[in-house]
Parts: sequence; C-alpha cells; structure tokens
Amino acid sequence: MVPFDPYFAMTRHDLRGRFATMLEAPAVAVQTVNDRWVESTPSSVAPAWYRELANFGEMEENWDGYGSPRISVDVLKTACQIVIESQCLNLPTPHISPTTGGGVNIEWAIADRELEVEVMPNGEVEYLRSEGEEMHDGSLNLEGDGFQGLAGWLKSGSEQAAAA
Amino acid sequence: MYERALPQRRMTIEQNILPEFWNPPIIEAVLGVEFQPVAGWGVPHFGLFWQEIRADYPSFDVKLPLRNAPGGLAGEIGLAVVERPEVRCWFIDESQSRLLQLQDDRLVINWRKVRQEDAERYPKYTASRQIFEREWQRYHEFLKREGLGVPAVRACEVSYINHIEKGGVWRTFGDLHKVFTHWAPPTTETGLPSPDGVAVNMVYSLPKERLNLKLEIATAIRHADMKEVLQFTLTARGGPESSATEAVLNWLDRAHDVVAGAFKQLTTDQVRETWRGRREHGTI
Repeated sequence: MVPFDPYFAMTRHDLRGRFATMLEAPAVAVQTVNDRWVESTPSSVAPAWYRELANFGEMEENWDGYGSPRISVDVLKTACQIVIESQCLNLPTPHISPTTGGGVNIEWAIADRELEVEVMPNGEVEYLRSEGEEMHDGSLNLEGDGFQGLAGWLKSGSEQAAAA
Repeated sequence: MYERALPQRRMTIEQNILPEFWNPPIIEAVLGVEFQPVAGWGVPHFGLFWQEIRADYPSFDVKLPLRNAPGGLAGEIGLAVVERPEVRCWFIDESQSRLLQLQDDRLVINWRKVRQEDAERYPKYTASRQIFEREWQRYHEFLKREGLGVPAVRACEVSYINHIEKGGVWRTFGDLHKVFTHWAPPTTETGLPSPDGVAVNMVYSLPKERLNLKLEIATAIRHADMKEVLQFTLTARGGPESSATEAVLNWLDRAHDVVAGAFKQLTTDQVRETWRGRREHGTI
C-alpha cells in the first residue's frame, strides 16, 4: 500500500502526465518534506474527494433517515487508502458516496467498464466490476495486489475502446 | 548526567506566565537546530549514532533530508534529482511520541500527541528543553569522538502546532472570532457568507529577540481521524548569539517565551476556557 497522504497521491497523479519518465527513475522521489511529525493536509490543497470523505465523518447517526450509524474513522481511512492507491495507479477521480449501514462506496467508470468498491461497516471490502451485461463481484484483500488487478482491468477498457 | 538545573528565570516564567491547560490543543512541539553540514559525515554515522541512543529510541525510519529552512508548511512538496543518496534519519522512542531527527546539517526533537492521555500530560517546555539539551550534548560528544568537529550553528527553531477541533467553540468559519482575538466578527454589511476555508500567514520580526515569529492558521484535515481542524502553528526561527550550547538554549528559551505569549494573546478567553487547567486533579 502507498503512504496515507492524499496530497502526495494527488500531486503524483497530476505530475505523472508531465514527468512520467522521471517518476519512474529510482533516484527521483516525490515526498512531503518538512520537519513535522503529525500528519494533516491543509484544506487549501486537499483534494475534493478527501474533503468529501472527511465530511462523511461529520454525519450524525441516522443521517439517511433509516437509522444508519455514523461512518467510522476506520471505514473512512480504508476508503481513503483505496482512493490514494487508485490515484497512484492513475485511475480517474472516483465518485464517492456513503452507503446505508455506515459504509462507503467508491466508483470508477472508463469507457464501458465500471468498477465499484464498497468498504463495509465492518471494514471488509467488496467489489463489483461490470462491462455491459457482464458482472463479476468478490471480496478484496487490500494487503494483496487484488486492487491493482482491478485497476488494470478498468484501464484496459479505455485501450480497447481506443483500439476499436 | 546531561540534565542540569534550569535557571530560576525559566522556572518563574513557567509558573507565572505560561498557560496551563487540562486538555491543551497542542498536538506537536518541535525544537530544532540547523548547522553547517558536518564535513566527513556519511551514511554509516547514522548507524553509529543510533547505537549511542538506541536504548531511548529503539525504532527508526528514513526520510528525505530537509533542504530548506525548517518550519516549512505542512504539505510542502519537493521534487529533486539527487546525485547521491541523501538521508534524514528518524529515531523514535518506545511511546511513539518522541522523535529525534538527524541529518548532516540538522538535529530536531519532536513531541507529538498520540493518544488523548498524552495531551493531558503534554510535556512542558522545561521537559522538552531538557531532552533537547541531552540529545544535543550526546551529538556533540559523538562528533568529538569521531573526529568530526563541532557543529557551527546557523539557526534554531521552536514550533508549536495546535489543532482546534470543529464542534466546540467553532462550528463554521464564521466563528473564527470566537477562537482568535484578532479576528473581527462577521457583519452582514459585506453580504458575504461564512468562508469555506481559511489560510492565514503572519510574520513578525523581533530583532531584539534575534528571531522571526511566523503564525499560520489554516483549515486542515487530520490524517489520524480525518477530522477537520483549525491548525494553528507558531514557529520562531532565528540565530543564537553563538554556537555554544548555552547560547542555543538561551535562544530556545526566548523563542519559547515569545511563542507562548503570542499563543495566549491571540486566542480568546472563550476558547482557552475549554482547555483550562485543573490543577486539583494533579495531572499537570
């Protein structure tokens, strides 16, 4: 997993197009550099998706009118980690929404392919990938490289679309 | 053996002037010194020095070195093409709340709040100063033993970072006047709504104290719990009169007094009341 640093992820994502070759070089690093220890991201540079996730954390119990509990910090941080990873894998910025029961849903779409990843209230992560009528779902282990595989599948949709 | 009795003046200041709080907003304190790069310093010296301090700092991490003035804004980003491996080592204590940062031209001591109970017993300046002095002396002695000379000090830094959480005294950025004394209450005359975010930098030159005081107020999202906070950072930076340890410590004392005074003057009674000390509980 990449470092928990939304600003780093966003900047790396933004830089990738311009400095793709340099960023692959081992001697070049992009890293937050200061002498602080406690980590925070100033709102002025925080990506919109990160502010959105933080806002989910402020929602009170029964935020949906159906008795949903507050979304836990652990769920938010897992969701955040997934988006950071996706940014580092050069996926587009996802659509993020809270789910009934206290989870978070994260969605990407490229060409005809869609990927939904849901962080469940108990911290487990499930995914649903779809292309047209074809759907496939399963559990995702964030410690492994399962998400990279899904991201690769999603991105290859745009290549196929371009080739067609 | 490194800890010396503090001057009477310092004890008096601690007791009479500086605010004491039951639940202070401080989340990090930094005491640092920057010096001319130590000639002959190499990567192996980090390991040798770690052996000296390992009992107090059992874990480590490796970071990119700081190459600009200490006290940079959180979120500053560096893109560098490096000719050789450059290293800043973090040596971390068992509680995960104390950090010693070392590179070829800098030594920085950080304290951070890890748990709520850390805030309730956050180290007063006198305790942080003693730790700084101990590590600075250890570093001096290490350099001497290795034949690397004496560090020529260029600048020192004292920083205090405070997180003022949303939901207490302030709920929107239209409430900032309830937190900061220099902030005027919103008026309806401008026709503007409450701001969506805040980022303020103020710099004061205090030549008599040989320092600049930088104040930063910014909205931020804390990674640990993803809460929105007002991050109030006070950084004093400047040069001591000489490289002598006594001069460095005197500068740190002056800088701390300036920082603590500014904190007290710039925060309202209303917000300070929520952090107020309760000595009868005996935790401070």
